[in-house]
Amino acid sequence: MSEDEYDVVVNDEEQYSIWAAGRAVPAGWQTVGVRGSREKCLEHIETVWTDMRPRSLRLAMGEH
Amino acid sequence: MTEPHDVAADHLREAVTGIWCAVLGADHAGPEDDFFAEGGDSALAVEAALSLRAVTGTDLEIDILYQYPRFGRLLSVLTDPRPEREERPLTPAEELLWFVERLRPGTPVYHIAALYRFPGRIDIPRLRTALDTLVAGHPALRRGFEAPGRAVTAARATVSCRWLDGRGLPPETLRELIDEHARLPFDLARPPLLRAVAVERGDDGDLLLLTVHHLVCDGGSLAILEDALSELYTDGGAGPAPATAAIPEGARAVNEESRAYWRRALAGCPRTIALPHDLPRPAALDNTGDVHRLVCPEDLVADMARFAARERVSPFMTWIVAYVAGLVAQTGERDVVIGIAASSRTAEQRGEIGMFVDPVPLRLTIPDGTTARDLARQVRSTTAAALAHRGVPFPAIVDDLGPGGDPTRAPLVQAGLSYLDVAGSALRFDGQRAVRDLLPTGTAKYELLWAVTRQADRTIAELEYLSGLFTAEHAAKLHAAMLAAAGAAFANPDAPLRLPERPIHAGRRPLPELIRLRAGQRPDAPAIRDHGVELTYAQLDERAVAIATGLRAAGLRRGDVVAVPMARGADAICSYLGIFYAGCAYLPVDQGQPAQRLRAALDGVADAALVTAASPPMPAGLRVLRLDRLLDDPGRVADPGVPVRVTGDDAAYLMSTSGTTGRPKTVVVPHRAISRLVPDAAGLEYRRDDRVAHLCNPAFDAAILEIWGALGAGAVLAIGNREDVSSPARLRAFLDEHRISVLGLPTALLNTVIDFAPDALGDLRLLIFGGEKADEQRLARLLAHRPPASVVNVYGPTENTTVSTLQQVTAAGLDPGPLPIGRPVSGSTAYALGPDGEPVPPGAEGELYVGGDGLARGYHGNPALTAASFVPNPFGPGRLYRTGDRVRMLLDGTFFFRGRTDDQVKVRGFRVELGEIEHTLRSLPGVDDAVVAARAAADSAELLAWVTGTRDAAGLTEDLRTRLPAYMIPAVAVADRLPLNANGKVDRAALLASLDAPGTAAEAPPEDPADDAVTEAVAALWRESLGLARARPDDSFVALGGHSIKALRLLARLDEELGVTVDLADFLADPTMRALVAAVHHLQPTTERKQP
Repeated sequence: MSEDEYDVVVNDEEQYSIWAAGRAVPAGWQTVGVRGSREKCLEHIETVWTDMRPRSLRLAMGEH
Repeated sequence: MTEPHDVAADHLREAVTGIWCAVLGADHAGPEDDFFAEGGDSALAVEAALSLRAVTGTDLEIDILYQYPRFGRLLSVLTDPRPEREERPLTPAEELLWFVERLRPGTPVYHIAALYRFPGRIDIPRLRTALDTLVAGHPALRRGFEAPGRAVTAARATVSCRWLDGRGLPPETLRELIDEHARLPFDLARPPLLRAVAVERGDDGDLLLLTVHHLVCDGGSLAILEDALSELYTDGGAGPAPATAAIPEGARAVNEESRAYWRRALAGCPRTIALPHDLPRPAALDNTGDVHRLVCPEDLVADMARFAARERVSPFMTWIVAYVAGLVAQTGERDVVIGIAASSRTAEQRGEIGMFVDPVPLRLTIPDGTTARDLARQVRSTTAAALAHRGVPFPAIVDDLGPGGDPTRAPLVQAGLSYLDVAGSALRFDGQRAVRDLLPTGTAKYELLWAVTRQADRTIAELEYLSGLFTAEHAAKLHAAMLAAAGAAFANPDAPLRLPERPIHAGRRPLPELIRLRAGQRPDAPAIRDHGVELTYAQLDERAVAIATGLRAAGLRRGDVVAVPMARGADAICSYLGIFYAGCAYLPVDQGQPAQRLRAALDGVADAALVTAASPPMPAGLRVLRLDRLLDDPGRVADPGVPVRVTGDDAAYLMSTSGTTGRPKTVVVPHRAISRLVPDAAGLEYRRDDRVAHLCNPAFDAAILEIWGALGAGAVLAIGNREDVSSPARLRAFLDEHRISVLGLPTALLNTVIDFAPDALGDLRLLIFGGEKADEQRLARLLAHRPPASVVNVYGPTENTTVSTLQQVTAAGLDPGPLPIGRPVSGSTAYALGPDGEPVPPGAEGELYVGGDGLARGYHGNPALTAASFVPNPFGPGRLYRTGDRVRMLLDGTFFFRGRTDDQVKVRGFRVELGEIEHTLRSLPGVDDAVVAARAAADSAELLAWVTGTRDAAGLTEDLRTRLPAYMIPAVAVADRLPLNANGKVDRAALLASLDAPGTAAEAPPEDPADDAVTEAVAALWRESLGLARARPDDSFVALGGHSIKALRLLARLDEELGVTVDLADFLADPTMRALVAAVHHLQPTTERKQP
């Protein structure tokens, strides 16, 4: 059973979250290829999600 | 048919003949004689008319001889044997319209103005005759309305029929003239409430404008009128035999069973609908309106026809489905009440012109996953039931709902739908078929009315809207979007109805922009009243600009975070707005918390702090700016970059909440999240003429509603200090002094006010409460006795910006069961999900997930916690926040709060993680282990801690005070060991149970015998308020678990029992019973002691 397995997912605003592995990923979200326990997924997010501003705000502020 | 012989009529005939002969100098009058051919001119016509008025005793038209130049016709008109007038009371439907007319006299809101375009010419004399004959045959067209509410049908009436030469007039001028005629007010007392203007246009074909008042006509009647007028004009016939009396349609007996039906059907229904208007709702709306017209696409009409046939619903019901599908897609509302115009025409009234429509409210609920087919079934049954119980007048239906709703909006129904099939009727003069257009009257009957008309070759949809709420561009977009949603629903009737892609909030501006706008609109209007200090909007704006300029000069940039360690007050508000103007976000700092926790809240979060002399010391290393220096900087150079433009995604504020790890969690809230809530979320609308109380600690998010609701609306924010909430009597004085119209209170404080000063709230327009479970019995008491106009229970975590769901509280809707937390506020969604992430069935318990525009960005500097708490939304775009609250949702989308999935509790409205307290306790030296539990107490939750280790309770409490805010300090007990449950975890339940067991209380010293009546009375109230069995002079109220709200209750009870008002601040300065007794003696020197 993969009940305790999660995927790291990211949306168009480059916001990260976790999603139970095997469940259809909601529209607007993509898996990033990291799967594992909840803790493992959250640890991964802790390292990659360094700028928590949504992408549209970064664009509005003239950044990328 | 023989005319009944009537002596009076003979006399009248003689008198009329006499006047005719005298005025014209003739010796005889024949039926075919023409007044003007016989030598009459305009002066003689007036003279004759005045003489005729005298002999008939009626208010004849002064141009009666122009209308009836032939003697025979004049005579028959004047000597008609029918009674002059018949009176009857108004029907309920007439009463509604009459009421609007009296409220706003002279507006064309109920004019039906039909413009007919003929290919050729109109014969004006024939038209005149046809119109008069028409009027003679239809009592409604001879009906007028008189104060105080009588319908009077005259024996005769002539239609004003003007002729206008439109040849050579530019189309715009002509259009203006026609509009002017269409909108000219009727004198309702003078029938007919029908008039005509014929416009000659040469080769372009003539126009005919018929304007008729809705009081005597409706859509169906207009078709009858057209057919009848066509026949009279074309065949010249005498028309139908004149009906002699109006069919008495009024005064239907109100059926009690029907009334009960409406009470049941509408119980707990929303009183207002969150329409997606793009203009901020003004304080007062007039009925200026406009219409956006669309020709419905052929494929939609065809899909709807197929759907209607398959589902066995009428075309009208199909359009109801379309309207609701469109509204749901635009508003996200799940429980809507719309008004439909239902025909009350009886079989005998077929063919009669008149007003035969009643407004009927329809309530439809749209749970998740509802398809067009589901909705059609609901529409069919609801419409059938509603029509079966149609006899109840709309005002009675509204009355039965009890007080509630928004007094500035139309009661119950703000969105209407009408449907009319006129495919079979047309105006045809001599075979010339006219094309009809209904002209906009420049007014609107509802906030939104969808009028659908099926014509022979096409279906027209007209969206009539209030111009005070919708711009023309937005209305056009909205109309197209609604039609598209309806199209999608019928194209795929088994798919769930479309919901808002992004909850619509067009035109919602970020707050700084909105408040700038307010300052521009009404610069001298008061914005803030703070104990003698009053700031106008211009002054507020000016100060904010100065602050922003200083912040930018200090190097702060868009997106930076500025801490504001200031108490509630004008300085704090100016600082917040100044921080907005600098493009930064503010972090309000609770001054009541210990330095260590304050440091933890600011560390790594704030880029600078903006302080006053009264601010607590800031942690070393944090950049500190003085507010007074920014405001009075002589060297300030104007900064063209101020105010910095921000978007809805920019962070507006950050707020610390209790976190389980011992560090507070800092929620980052974007501007969009506030704009979706203030100033005009449905049910929580703030108005320009409001006086809004600001009593909440700005470090807690209920303050968001107060501050930005008031300033966003251009209203007055009246700031109360600690004393103003120190007793119900003080609060009442504050509310009276500032004539407060909007007040927010934590539930626990509201309970105290209801108990001790319920009348204090009677003048409020809007009372908002929340934070803890409501007390239904107290609310019932409040509602029974001069309640505020609107009472709203709000629920919501900081992560979804203050309000996620809300519930209007009305006496009628107050069931004996628990009060629901209601349904999602506009711009928000809410779901009850099971552990598998799927919705639980209605009625079952699930975890509440909330989404939409209110969502916070996340937790500052904590991506993992953000990712775990804000999860992908499987039902729509964006994310959902897991609230950790257990809820139950009913079929109509109403949520009930059931508890927590974790150890978060609410203590007097403050959100507390038990884990944070445990974590803090365990971090203290000499503590081995600790567990904290919450126990329900009379007013709120009570915190209890059990600790193992080498420390004593008093020392631990002292240590906690340096680390946690007062509301998080538990009563501490030192235990030998902590009981474990089967899972090896500390068994909180067992610990709580041990409290109630006998023998747990240590041997207590005996209570001192009361030495006088005052001490006895104070002791009794003391015991009562703390729920204790004993009261000793040196007991500290605070140490015994008394908090400020309990203290308030105690002092209020003292006031009630002994007639003394002890100040809360004085009491808390020395919260012992001894001091309290002394205070009572002091304040009330003439106590019972005088008479032992």
